[in-house]
Amino acid sequence: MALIDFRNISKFYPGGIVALKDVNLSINEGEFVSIVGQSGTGKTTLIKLLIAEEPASEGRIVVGGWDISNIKSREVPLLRKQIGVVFQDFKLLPRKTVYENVAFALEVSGALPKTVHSIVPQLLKIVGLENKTDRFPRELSGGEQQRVVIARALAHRPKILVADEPTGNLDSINTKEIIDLLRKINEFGTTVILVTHNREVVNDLKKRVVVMDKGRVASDQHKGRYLL
Amino acid sequence: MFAVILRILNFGLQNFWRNIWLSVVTVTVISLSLFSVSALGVLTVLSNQALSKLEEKIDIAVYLKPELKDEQIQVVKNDATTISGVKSIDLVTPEQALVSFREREKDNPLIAESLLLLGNNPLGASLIIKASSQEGYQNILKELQTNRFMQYIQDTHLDDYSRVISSVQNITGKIKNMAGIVSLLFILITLLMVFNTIRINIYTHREEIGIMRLVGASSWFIRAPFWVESVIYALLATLVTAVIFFPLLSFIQPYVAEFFNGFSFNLVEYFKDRSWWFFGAQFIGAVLLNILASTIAMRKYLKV
Repeated sequence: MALIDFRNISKFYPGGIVALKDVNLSINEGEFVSIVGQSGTGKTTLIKLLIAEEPASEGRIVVGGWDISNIKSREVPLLRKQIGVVFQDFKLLPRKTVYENVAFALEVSGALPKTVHSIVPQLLKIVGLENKTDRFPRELSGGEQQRVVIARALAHRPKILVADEPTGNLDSINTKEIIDLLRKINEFGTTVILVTHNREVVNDLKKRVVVMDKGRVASDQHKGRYLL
Repeated sequence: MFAVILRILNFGLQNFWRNIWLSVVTVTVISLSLFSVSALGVLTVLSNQALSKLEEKIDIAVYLKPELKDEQIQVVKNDATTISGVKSIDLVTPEQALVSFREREKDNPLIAESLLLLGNNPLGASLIIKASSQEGYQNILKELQTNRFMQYIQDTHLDDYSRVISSVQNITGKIKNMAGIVSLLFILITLLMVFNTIRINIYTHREEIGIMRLVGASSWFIRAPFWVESVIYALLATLVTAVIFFPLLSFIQPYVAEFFNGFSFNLVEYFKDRSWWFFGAQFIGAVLLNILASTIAMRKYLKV
């Protein structure tokens, strides 16, 4: 059984805008899937539906056997703990240190201080920031800031990590570091969904590639390449 | 759970400190509201005290004929007790009447000489009747003027303060109405102020709220710090009001004592004895008001 299953998903916005049309997509546990496509093809909309930020207009979404198509607002936090999210614009709190930013994810979910103190250093070690725990985001490079975000996204040990254009603001060296980190996280067993424009990244990965075009899945290839 | 409560309190305090000047203004406005409510409370207490003191002064003095014997006086007293509306009857014996008359006229040698010439006590006994209500006096007077009593009575006198009472009621009623309107106005301003403060705080924390949602914080965890913030405003405003209230009471106490000439009424002591109740009720009222305002603001501006 697939970990994520989009069945006949459509998303319409007022004014007759069709963001997604009849999308069918299954992602298995432990997969690394790159979703590619030009701007406005529905990649980010698909992610928004997956993390229940918006409801689908039609169709069914199942995550880990849980049908989230009509998820109640009080159930959304539970879903978000199962899906770590990384965005292009980092979304770090500027007045909190690296440690505090990662700890924040656990604190707001009601984790005990003991748990926070035990998990955060582990996460920072995974992303290679164990020596920069007291730095503020402004004191870090773009790549380092994105690594903090990844550490935060992993705080709840999610089954799925969604990275929406995580390298959009980074140079090639930092991009490679982040992609390597995502690959490492995937090797630990976490399902990774990477939404990107970056042709080079996708081609180097040699993993499954889903191409979106005009709100539909244009192609879906295992060990594929960025083809448009 | 304890850790979660501590974090919510911590976030609530952060909300308060991060917009400290806005918080100061909010607390000031709430304090003004509470202060106007307190002033209304003081006015109510003062007017009630004034009215009850005036009501205490009303009585009917029934002067009985001097020739009545003690047994007859007792009969009249017992009979008068049965008149409906009578609260209490005090008997002043001829001897007591003479003592107080002598005391009252001690500087008048002519009176003393006349009493000496008379040889015996010319004064009769009297009954001091108090009614259970202000309206009862006229009924008692009417009853005393029936044949049953007239044969024993030499004269009756009613110390009627009803006109003074109604004018006091009138004035205090008007003042209370005005204070009530001012209080309502301040309460309305408080609602708007707290609403606006929470709105601005939601805006200030929009980034943090977004991240909270993203990492799986429950909606009540996101909302609770704003309620904590509302309670902090109410608590501080109540403390500020209490701190200003008592020195001000001490300041007006001499004027109150002068107003209640002849009666001992200490406003400061009165409110000190009831301070927990008085400010506790104001605190609860302010908390409810603030929570209402912050809930409306959150419904409108906080999408979780």
